[in-house]
Amino acid sequence: MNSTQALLELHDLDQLLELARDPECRTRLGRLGFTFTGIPVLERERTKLVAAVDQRWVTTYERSLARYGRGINVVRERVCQGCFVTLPTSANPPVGESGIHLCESCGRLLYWR
Amino acid sequence: MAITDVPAVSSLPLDLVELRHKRRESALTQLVAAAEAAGIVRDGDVLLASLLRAQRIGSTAVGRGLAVPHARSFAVNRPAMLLGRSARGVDWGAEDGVPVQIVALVLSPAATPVGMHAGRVAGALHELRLQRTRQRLLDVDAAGAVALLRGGGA
Ligand SMILES: [Zn+2]
Repeated sequence: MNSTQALLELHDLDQLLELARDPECRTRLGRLGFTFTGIPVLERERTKLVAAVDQRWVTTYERSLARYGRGINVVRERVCQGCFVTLPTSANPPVGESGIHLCESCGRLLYWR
Repeated sequence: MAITDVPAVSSLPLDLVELRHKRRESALTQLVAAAEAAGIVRDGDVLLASLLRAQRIGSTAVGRGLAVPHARSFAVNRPAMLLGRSARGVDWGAEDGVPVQIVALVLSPAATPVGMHAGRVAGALHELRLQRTRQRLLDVDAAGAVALLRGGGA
């Protein structure tokens, strides 16, 4: 697993943990038969994933997650959906490639594809 | 009795997948591949890894032959639901031990708010809770199943 894939999987796992820890979601889905007993297992999985991510990204990711509830943000039409600043052309990822970038304006990690 | 009161499982675009395998991992692989082929998903590897990991949360099989795996991911291009069905059932590790015959895979893009995504999952669970709905989905042909899910009576 490369570092980008690990980071994207970490993001997905955190999205799942957010749902599993949200009282309203838990109650709603619990009533329909879902169980959430495996949270500690997933927390250990999280530690493993964090270790597989480039450490330069981990700090930024964790800070964004703590501050904004989301470790990676979306870019839409060149606009960072975190701070809504248009990214400079120089920030463009190579054509046909996706990747992790840093928003120079707000410091969030961006998944640009 | 014609069941005409099957509500739309989802207003989301949906696809029907005939599950060929007995193993949960294989079934999820097949569903993700179908989603990728339909352009709903890119980075299928990431999504599959996330879905497999997510099975450890507890169980996404809620019993009586129904499982609703789900993800909010950058691998997902647009909201969608894929419905997998298997007459002989998939070993999903459900608490009641019943093999899963209906799998509703609910996918949301990464930016989807948690409550909205949970609502989609709850919607699928709710609409598929009745045995007769699930049986009907197993009995009809593929076009009929899709029509049923979209809220028409097949
Ligand atoms: Zn920004």
